[in-house]
Amino acid sequence: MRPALWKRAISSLFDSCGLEVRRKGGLRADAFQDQVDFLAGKEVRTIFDVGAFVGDTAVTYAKRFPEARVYAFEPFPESFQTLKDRTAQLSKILPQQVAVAECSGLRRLHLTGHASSNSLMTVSSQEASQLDSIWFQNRGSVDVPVVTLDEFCEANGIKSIDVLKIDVQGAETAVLFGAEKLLTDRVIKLIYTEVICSRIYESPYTFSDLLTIMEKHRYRIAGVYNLMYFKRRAPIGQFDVIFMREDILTSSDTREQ
Amino acid sequence: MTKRAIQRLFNRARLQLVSTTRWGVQCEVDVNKLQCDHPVETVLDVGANVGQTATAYHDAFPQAAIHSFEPVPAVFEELKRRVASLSRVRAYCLALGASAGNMRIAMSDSDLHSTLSARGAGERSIEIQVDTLDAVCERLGLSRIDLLKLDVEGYELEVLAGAIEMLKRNAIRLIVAECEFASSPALTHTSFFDLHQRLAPWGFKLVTFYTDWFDPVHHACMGNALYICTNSYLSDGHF
Repeated sequence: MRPALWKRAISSLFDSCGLEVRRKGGLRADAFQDQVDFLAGKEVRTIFDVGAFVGDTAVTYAKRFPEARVYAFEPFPESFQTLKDRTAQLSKILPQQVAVAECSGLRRLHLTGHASSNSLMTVSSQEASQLDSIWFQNRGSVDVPVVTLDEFCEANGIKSIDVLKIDVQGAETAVLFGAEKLLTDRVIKLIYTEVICSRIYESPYTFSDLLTIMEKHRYRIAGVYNLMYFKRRAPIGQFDVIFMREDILTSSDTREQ
Repeated sequence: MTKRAIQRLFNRARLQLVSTTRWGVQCEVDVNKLQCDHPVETVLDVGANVGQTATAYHDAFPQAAIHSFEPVPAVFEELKRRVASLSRVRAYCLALGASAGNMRIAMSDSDLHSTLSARGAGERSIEIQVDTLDAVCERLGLSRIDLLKLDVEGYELEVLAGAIEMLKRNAIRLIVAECEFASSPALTHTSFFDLHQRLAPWGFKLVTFYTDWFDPVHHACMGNALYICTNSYLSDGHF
């Protein structure tokens, strides 16, 4: 009885300062470390970084998974050049100057105030004006080549993707629509994707569509990260989520605690 | 210096400090943030158990009437005892479901995780009374619910099926529901996938997750998700 009492006293002390005491490992913090943990003992040879921007994530993946090749997709010429220069010495990173979506061809890439917000989707001017941020300012557009993941893998003889990271500013679901065969063949182990819930991008897809695909192909949510809110009282603006193929999750159940 | 020392102490104890002003840490704090223009007045606590949530809500929402529903008589007695001193909490020995009537409920050993769903139907079961959320609101004269808490061990969607009238009128502002972040046949709780698909058509948007209980083996298993009805908030232009 006594330890419970002092525990409660400490909690209420912190509570009055607006803090909460938690056991570590409860709240997910490091999405990359978790991916390493989740895939421990599994072969990780192929990583796709879709929406690589200037390569921060690609470099992180190359470090965390030294055995893997990292295909880094970035369509915007300036960002791609930086990505290429930065990773020139890293033979495991393979930059691809192409966008990824649900069908291949040539498509308009909408440019924004910050190149990391560039998207195949247009920015909603109404939402952007409310945010009052240069990040989403309209800066015109360029035409970029687009591939689907199914076609890219077929053309390059890639049989499986161990980690698929997607961060393409509102077009995440489109990437998965272009990976129908890979998903059906069950050759993608883990998907780490950004989810944009706000209507900042005029995407035809909603979070529900993404969940529908993931459920259809029997993926499970393995972690939720980096929750971001754009407006004071609005629902969640965006977050990252790790989906894992159900059988991979089940087979890793024997992992040590 | 002191901060660093405290940090080290916490690290050693495998504890961490998180700020409750951050979204997704404490549900009550987030609810008050969302309701800053309209203080929380009406709360339905469905699956009240012995009143853990009701007690927290009573503290956090000083103007709220909290209606707590717990169908298992033995658990209900304990609930009644614990909330007796809380003037704004009313407890009902009742389950909420898709339709009114009596139902058999499977009893687990602890009595804490009893469930109405067919999956759980086991050896030991008792009969309990069920009503719909719509009927209860009508009887109690509740025209609006500021917060609906659902923690009914896999029966969450059934509760919503009995709340169609309230949902149609956009009369439920916030819903916090327990769910499993999974899609598997072995599911014993409501899947987040199903919950989201059920709520989205009614104008609900995800506010935040409370993914506090990560199982180190099964990863993100359980958590709560907080939803806001954007239809009922449209007028204030925040969404």
